[in-house]
Amino acid sequence: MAIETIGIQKRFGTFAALHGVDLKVADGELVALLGPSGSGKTTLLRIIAGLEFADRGDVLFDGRSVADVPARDREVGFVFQHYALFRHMTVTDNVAFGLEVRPRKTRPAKAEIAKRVKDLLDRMQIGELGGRYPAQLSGGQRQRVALARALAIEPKVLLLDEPFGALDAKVRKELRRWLRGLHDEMGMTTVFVTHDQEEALELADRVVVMGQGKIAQVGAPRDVYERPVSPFVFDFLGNASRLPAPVNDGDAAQLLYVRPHDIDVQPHRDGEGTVRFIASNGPIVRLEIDVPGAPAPVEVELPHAKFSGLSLSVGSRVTLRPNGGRLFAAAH
Amino acid sequence: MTARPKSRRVLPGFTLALGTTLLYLGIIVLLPLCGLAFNTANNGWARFWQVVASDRAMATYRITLGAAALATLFNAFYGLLMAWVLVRYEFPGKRLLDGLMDLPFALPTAVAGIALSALYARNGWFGMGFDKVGIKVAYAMPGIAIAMAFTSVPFVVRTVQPVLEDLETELEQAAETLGARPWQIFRRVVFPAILPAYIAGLTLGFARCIGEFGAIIYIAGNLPMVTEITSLLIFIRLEEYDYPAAAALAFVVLVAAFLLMLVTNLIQAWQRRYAKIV
Repeated sequence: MAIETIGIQKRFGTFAALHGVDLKVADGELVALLGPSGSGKTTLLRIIAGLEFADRGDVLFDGRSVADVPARDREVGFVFQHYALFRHMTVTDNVAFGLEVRPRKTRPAKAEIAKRVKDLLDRMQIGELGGRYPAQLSGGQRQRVALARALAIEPKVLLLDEPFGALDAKVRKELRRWLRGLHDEMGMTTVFVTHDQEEALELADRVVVMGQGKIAQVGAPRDVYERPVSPFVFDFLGNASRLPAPVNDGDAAQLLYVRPHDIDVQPHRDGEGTVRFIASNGPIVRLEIDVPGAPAPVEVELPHAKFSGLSLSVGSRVTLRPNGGRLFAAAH
Repeated sequence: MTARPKSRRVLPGFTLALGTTLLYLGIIVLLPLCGLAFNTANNGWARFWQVVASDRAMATYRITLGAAALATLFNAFYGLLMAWVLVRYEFPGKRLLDGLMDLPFALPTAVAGIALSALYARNGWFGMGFDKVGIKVAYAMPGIAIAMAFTSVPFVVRTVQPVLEDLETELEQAAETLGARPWQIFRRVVFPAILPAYIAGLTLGFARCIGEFGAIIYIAGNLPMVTEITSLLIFIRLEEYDYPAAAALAFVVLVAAFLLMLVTNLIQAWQRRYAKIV
């Protein structure tokens, strides 16, 4: 099912959480809402789910407004950041909940519910955990139960709020790939919220970068990463080093934003930069270089092998050659 | 060499702390109870049975338990509603109402008894109204139940309230996105979560009702066989210097209290089975 939001505005007291968000998500797409905390991404997700209501604007499902449709009738599967599993119910009962609460007319028979729950648990690879209570599960298992519970109602849209936020790094990576596989298999429109750019870039078909209640950029992961439209997006998607850019007379001052690993460094007697700090632990060596005109020390990352060949030390003069990068007007 | 693990206790001296608490428990709680049991046993089984199974004593059990059941029924509705209102809604005067909830705890029960009997007596404000429709409240069963409910309702409110406050709203939202109607959310998600606390509150309230004395004797009329409660009968026996009879009756109340606590704990253990980690 396609989702569209039109001019969504939302305030909490004096805080404007969203001001004017227009977003289209195509049927079957996997979209990431990416942004720092306070950017409004979770609020937008909750408005789509019907758990929050916009002050202005509209939400369309397949072109039809759902502004007056309560959450329970939107047929949206929602996975909460902390899973919100029902502690007093077994895994099976948790997953069956959405089917059990249906009105008698549309409720499947008991045996049918049991079968569907079992199938779902098997698909989530937690088939043997049906009799357990949430307190007896690991974080990753709870996540799968929450997902199974949301999928049990056969939603047309799956919404996930920081789905991997509460998991440790290893489980997170594993679940991420597994979720991508699940999405490809089931093909339902999926929107997830994250503050982790790596997660968004790896998992999503399209990334929506949000900042301060607005959409900063929308695009395929590669586009967004390689062609950020603003310093905010550039900064948020990875580390950024800023170099002064040569300007013609009369033009506004500009800064070149470039990734630290895209800068080449060569020792040079009359080089413009001075090495001020070297961190050589691990496979990547991180240098901080003072450059006149740069707003902050320029960060450079070099592979260890390359660094060894340069014989640099604190105080060495170097020339910097950025490879690619984006030009933005310097902030005043 | 092994490092000595750092103590994780905030208060020093486990032995001292445990010793003090056990000593206190022994002297203040267990010793009198044992004395009571011992005293009862000393007087012989036949005498004991004669006292506790007498018609008058049986009538007091009936009246006490009946009124306590009525009061608990009332608490079950009102206490839950009150806790819900205090947690879920914002309104002017909420803090005041919250504070007033403890009044029955703080108020001498005699004061409550006198106030209630004045109000519900046939010439009192409420009593007049009830009298017109032919219901006798003061000096009758309903009066006893009202006095009991007055003193015991905070138990329900104060046990349910914190649990309700801690209940994540996300649980209800999750249920909502899964298609549950408000009533289903309450019955299947909220209620089971607060049930252990609710049962605990109701039992504590019920126990308090059985033990209540001060608030009731002013409003009950204390007619033997009709409106006489067990604690009053114990008091009357004491007044008559019939200690063995008083002790025997007190022992019955003690056993009832223990059974009540036992049953509650069993129910709660069963209710909390899902919180165990295997």
